[in-house]
Amino acid sequence: MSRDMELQAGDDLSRRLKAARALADLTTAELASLLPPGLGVGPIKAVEQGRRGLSQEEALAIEAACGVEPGSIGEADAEPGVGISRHVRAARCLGGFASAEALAAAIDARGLGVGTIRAIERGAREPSVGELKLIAAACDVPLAFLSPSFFERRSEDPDTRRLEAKLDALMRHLGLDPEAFA
Amino acid sequence: MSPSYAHPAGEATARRLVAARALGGFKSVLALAQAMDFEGLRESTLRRVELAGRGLWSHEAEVIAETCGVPAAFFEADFFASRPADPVEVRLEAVERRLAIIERLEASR
Repeated sequence: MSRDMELQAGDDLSRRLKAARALADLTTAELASLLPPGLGVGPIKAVEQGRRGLSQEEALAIEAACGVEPGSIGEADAEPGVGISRHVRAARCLGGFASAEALAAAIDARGLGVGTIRAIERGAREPSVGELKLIAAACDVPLAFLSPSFFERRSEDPDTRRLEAKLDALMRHLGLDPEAFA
Repeated sequence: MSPSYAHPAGEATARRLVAARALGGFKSVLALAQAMDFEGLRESTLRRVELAGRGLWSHEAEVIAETCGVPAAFFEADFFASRPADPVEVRLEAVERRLAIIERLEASR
């Protein structure tokens, strides 16, 4: 029976593996020697030649052996770091946390462990505002930095205008003057 | 004597570079160096900066910032403090304050 290859063979996977190996300055033989049995020189070359895929477990083992960030090889389709996730990762770097584990340890909050942070950084999880606040505070960056639009200078935003209009209506309904609290 | 880099060697510049790289989606210094293709900012140079062993000249920071899609001012020490507030952010903060008022009002009823 063929193994469950979650990461499909092809140019993309080949390129990412080669880049990780180049980064670590390892030959295929040197890399193979650091990996579990079953991931020898042959399979590694097959992946680099686009003839073999990888399981997530294998990708993680290679990432660890090459000393590259988790997801460097295994996050094929989701361009890692897109949107909020890139900003969360950047905030972690600015905060001086070398890993998601270090950030999680600094935050030390229930529900925001290393798994959650990794998922956010992979773009696999949409963080809540509360989670973003915890991350921003730990990394000593403004909360706004975690927004994907942080570097954009917006003068108008239809969503915000709609939100303000709804809120105005709600305040009036409650007998409050929106202008007094603007 | 060490050169007077615009962004001196040290933890602060190192962190900004790693963060800029993360924002640009470059998973390694090699990937960033290849994307920049800029003489003088090779992989080894970037690695030294990230290890706090080298600073950045202003033109180097500009090239990195442009490649990573962040403003050059991102490398300035006071970037966050000096950044003018986004008008939409200001409005959203006002929305948040007003919602808090409504929540307090509802809680007291």
